[in-house]
Amino acid sequence: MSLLYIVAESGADAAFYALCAARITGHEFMPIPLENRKADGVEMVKVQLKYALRQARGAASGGDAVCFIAAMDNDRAPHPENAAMDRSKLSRKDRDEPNRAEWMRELVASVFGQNTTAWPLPVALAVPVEMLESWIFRAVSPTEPQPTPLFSTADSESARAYYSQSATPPQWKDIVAEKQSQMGISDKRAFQEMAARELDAVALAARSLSFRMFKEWLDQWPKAVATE
Amino acid sequence: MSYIKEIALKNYRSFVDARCRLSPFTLIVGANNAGKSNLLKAFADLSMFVSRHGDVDDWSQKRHHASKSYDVEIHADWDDAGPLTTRMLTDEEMEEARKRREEMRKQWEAALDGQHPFKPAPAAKYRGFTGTLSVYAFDPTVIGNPEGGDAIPFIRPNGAGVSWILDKWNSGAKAGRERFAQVVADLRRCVPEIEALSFYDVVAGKRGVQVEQFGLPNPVPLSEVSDGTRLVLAILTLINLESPPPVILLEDINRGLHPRLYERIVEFLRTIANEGKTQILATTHDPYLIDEFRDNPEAVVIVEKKDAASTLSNLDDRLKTFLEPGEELEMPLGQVWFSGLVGGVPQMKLPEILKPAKP
Repeated sequence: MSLLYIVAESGADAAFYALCAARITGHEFMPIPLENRKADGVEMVKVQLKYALRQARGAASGGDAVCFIAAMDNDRAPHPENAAMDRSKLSRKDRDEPNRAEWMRELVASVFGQNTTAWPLPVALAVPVEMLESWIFRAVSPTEPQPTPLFSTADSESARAYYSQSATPPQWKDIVAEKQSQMGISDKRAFQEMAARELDAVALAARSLSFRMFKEWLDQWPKAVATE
Repeated sequence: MSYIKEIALKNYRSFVDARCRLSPFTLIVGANNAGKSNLLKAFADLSMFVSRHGDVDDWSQKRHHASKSYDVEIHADWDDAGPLTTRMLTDEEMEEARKRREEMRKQWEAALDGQHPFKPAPAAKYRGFTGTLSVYAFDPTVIGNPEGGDAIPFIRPNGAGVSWILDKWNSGAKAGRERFAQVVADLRRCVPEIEALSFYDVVAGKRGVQVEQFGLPNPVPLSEVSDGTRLVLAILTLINLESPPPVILLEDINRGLHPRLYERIVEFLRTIANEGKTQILATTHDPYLIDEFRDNPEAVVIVEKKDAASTLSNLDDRLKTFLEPGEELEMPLGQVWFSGLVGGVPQMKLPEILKPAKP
């Protein structure tokens, strides 16, 4: 069984990504979840990611079969999936955000080298737009209209400022919480795991460009690595 | 300075074969149920073995539950006195140990009678291991409660006895008053709001500790101040005993403490330990407390459970799995631990749900 390093924003998120990898590659993994804390800032996540990549490389060179998932919510950073967003209405902090998928790839390349085919272990990058909840909702609601909110919750200051409305529309966490409630699952982690178990990866890739990009990474993983 | 610089455990409680280095002040981290408390208990059992000349109760109960071997060992290496291995004894050896212990008791009684000087056993070279160590899991609701009586006061594992000891010191001979003054001075260093400690009568023979704070006109009972302050007071009282334990074993050292106090308290305890007054081993789950060991990660021990066996490792060794030689750590040490990079965090129970869907 392969070791699967997962750098994500929480244990629940890491579980979701691990399950996605199992569903898409068809293999079992022994997960090694590494949590980052968004409150520590992107720079800290970069440092942690660098260390985790080195550690995974060390494990791989020691003979272990090792795979790696690096995940981070997009949070309104530039991405092909949100190209229609009016960035001028974002806060300055959001406007200054670099493309997260790109910097994550560059960071991996800074440790493993620019030639992705020569990387010492299979890597997948996950940058859900705008956050993991968008994948979860689309996974469990394939036939429902697909919302495209930008923020976490409607009552957040940044959401109210962006929409300039007295009644800000529901945002991703609001929408998923409502869906979770409708399905009668009280535990968030259990809900996410259910979404991953029932995942139709091909269908979700058709509805979410960011998920498709994640799946493309996983599709490139050599089958032999994951079965050792 | 005398302290245990290394410990190795074989088939002992949750450990099968584990070893780590120790410092004068060692922080022990790990997930719940990883084996941190068992590591502390090893020192208590070690002290029992030394002070009772090998006559340790219920060795079989201390054996790893999955181990078929009776080869149970606690090996400790002092920086000055050298190594000592305790192991589960055969019935014959246990009988010998009991005889030696009986002989010791007679010598001790004779010494108390003044008949001839007490000769310490060879094991006494292991720095102060002449009594059994306790694992202290201080309960703030107990510390400082009114106490008194005729028996010899001592600090119990939950912190009971602190009021009584402080009162005896304060109202007793010069040496005791000096110890009391030292405790107050140390407490003020750790919790600057505190001005003084005094006592109040509750019922005949029972007195409680009260705290005088800057800016407040009247003292308040210790039970009214924060859990953290009471915890610090218990630790300080323990350290200032005439014969403090050679190793102080503390569960959840930061229980109730504000993180901003950590720097002061860690510095204070490290100084005490480095001076050789006692060795301190403390458990925690708090990354902010681990941050205080940034300059000596070797003093942080990680306890992890793998395949139903607890393992030990020093944090400085774990850092080498991702730091280049000579490279500075670019994130707080506590964050490194929290992230899972060095282990010692709760494991993700996923193997059973990671199985791919059936086609």
